[in-house]
Amino acid sequence: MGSVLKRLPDSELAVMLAIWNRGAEKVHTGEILEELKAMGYTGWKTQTVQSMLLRLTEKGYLTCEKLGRLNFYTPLASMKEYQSVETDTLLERFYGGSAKNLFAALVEKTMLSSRDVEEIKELLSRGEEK
Amino acid sequence: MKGLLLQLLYRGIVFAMGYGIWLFYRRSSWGARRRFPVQFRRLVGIICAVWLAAPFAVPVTVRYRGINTATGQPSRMSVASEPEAFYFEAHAPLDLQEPGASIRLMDVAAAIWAVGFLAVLIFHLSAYIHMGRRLYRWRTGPLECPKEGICRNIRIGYTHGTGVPLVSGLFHPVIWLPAGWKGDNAVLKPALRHEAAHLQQGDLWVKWILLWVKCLYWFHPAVFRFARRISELLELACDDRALKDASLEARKEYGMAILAALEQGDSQKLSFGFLGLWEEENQVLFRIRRIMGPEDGPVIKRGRMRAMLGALVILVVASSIRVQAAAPGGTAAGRSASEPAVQAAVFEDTGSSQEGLSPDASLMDGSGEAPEIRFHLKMEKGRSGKGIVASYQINKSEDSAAYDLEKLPCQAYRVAFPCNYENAPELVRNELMFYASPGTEVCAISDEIVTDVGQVPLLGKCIATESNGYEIVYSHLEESYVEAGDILKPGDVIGLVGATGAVTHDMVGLRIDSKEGLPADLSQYGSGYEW
Repeated sequence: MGSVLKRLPDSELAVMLAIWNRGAEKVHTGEILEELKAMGYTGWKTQTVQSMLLRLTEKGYLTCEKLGRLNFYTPLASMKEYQSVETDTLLERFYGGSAKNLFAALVEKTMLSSRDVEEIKELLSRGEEK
Repeated sequence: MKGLLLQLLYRGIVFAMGYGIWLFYRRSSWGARRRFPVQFRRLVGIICAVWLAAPFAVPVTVRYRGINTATGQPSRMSVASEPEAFYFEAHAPLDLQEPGASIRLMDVAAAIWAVGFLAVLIFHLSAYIHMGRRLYRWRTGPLECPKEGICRNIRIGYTHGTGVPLVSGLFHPVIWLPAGWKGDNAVLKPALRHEAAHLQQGDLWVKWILLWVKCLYWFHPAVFRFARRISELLELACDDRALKDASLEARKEYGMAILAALEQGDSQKLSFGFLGLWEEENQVLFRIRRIMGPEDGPVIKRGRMRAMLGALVILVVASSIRVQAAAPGGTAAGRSASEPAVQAAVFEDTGSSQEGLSPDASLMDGSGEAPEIRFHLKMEKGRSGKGIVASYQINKSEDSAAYDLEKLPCQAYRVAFPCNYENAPELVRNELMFYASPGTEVCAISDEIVTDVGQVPLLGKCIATESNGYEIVYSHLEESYVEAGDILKPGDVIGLVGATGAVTHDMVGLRIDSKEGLPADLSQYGSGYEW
């Protein structure tokens, strides 16, 4: 699935985030609108969201199922799958590495072996014993 | 560009030496025994970063005392400071070359540097914009702005775009937290304390300065290492600030927050090879150790730290100023506001017709006759301006040698060679040098025909002209706007003042020779200022 996923524009990603955030297997348009409002997208009309859902379905991110009067949407890709597609390009990797120069982070991301994690945990627990 | 490149090279070399000495000292048994507090190292690092970030010498105007040139007293200027060989060479017969005939190393170096600078700058800026967009695009809700607590009035957002808490935005900062951290107070509070400490310390500004430094010195590996070390020091300083008077439990929570950030799965990992990983791993462990207990070893004495800091500041300031001459009536800075855009030196042969004007100088032409010439130094607006603003006439009959340089186009002038050449009297005092701001336009001093334009060793970019049987050479120019064969009127802009050739200040050299090759004796003009 991952290989056919294409980068989504901001608005469509927001709709996908609303669906992923909801966490349910199937969500209908009303629930998506509700979630979008909670995310701060208050000005979006139902018709706008519906057209975006249609595009997402055409792109293969969602499947649509009509149950009664409502359209229920099921995501075909998890957020992690999409994230890995979006951030796995070489440019993204370099950008991610470079951006740290201009952001002040709690800690720089680095690869930690299980031994390192154990050592850190031991240091923290030793401090507790003092 | 040439000046900037030289400054970068100069600062780069000085920095490499200083940084090398520091690293050597820290690794020596003497230096390793003493511990420098993180805040002290951070401050030193920032001072060095600012010094590197501004590779420009600030001009400081110093007023020089005028001397009485009418009495013919020798200037105390320059026998010691001006090597003889320089002027022998400079006054040797001109060997003009076509501009661009030879590839100039400095120009090539400047072009390579500029390409590298732009490439690094554009890459980092685009990465920053890209990352900022990603954080915003992946947000899970509207930004919050708490009215109280450690992050009051700071916007906070949760996003899937990062696996670690971070802060962005110079003027409107936002603390971004991983979406999964929402509601997790155990790790949230220490992380927010850390990010708030970054903002309180102004670390984002330091990060931008470091980025600028890296762009300027993209060719300098030591600068990159230095920038990385400063970034690490910023984190350590924030740890200290966030954990000030913290209990052991709070320290543990803080350490756990760091561990949680590291353990959070993400796809931003970027490996720089074994060495990079080795350094990063050690840095994390080092931080956790510092969080859980103080560093070992005695702290260096406060007096010594102050002395070191003072010495550093003096060095930085001393290496960032450039002394220049000022007119007696006011400083260059004060004058610059009303300074015309263009200034000119005007030479006029008065041997012919102008009545009522006494001769100012003699030009021995080899035939024993002494055609009378007069130098007018005029201050004019350029082609875009509206005529003459002021003019000044040098008159050697005046007793006062303190010429009113306030009205002259330059900050100071002097005869190029006031010391005596016993073996080569013909080389004595045959060039006037006008010191002016870089980029000041140079105007023709009489009706002239351009005979040659080119680069001359030591004299830099030159324009040679012919006028009434005299050869005139304008030297040390930054730019020339004329070509051989051009006919010039007095006041025509012919180039820009520069520092090409073997000179250290921006100036235009003016040399006037008779056609027979004998130089004009300009000695009576003395020096505008004692140099």
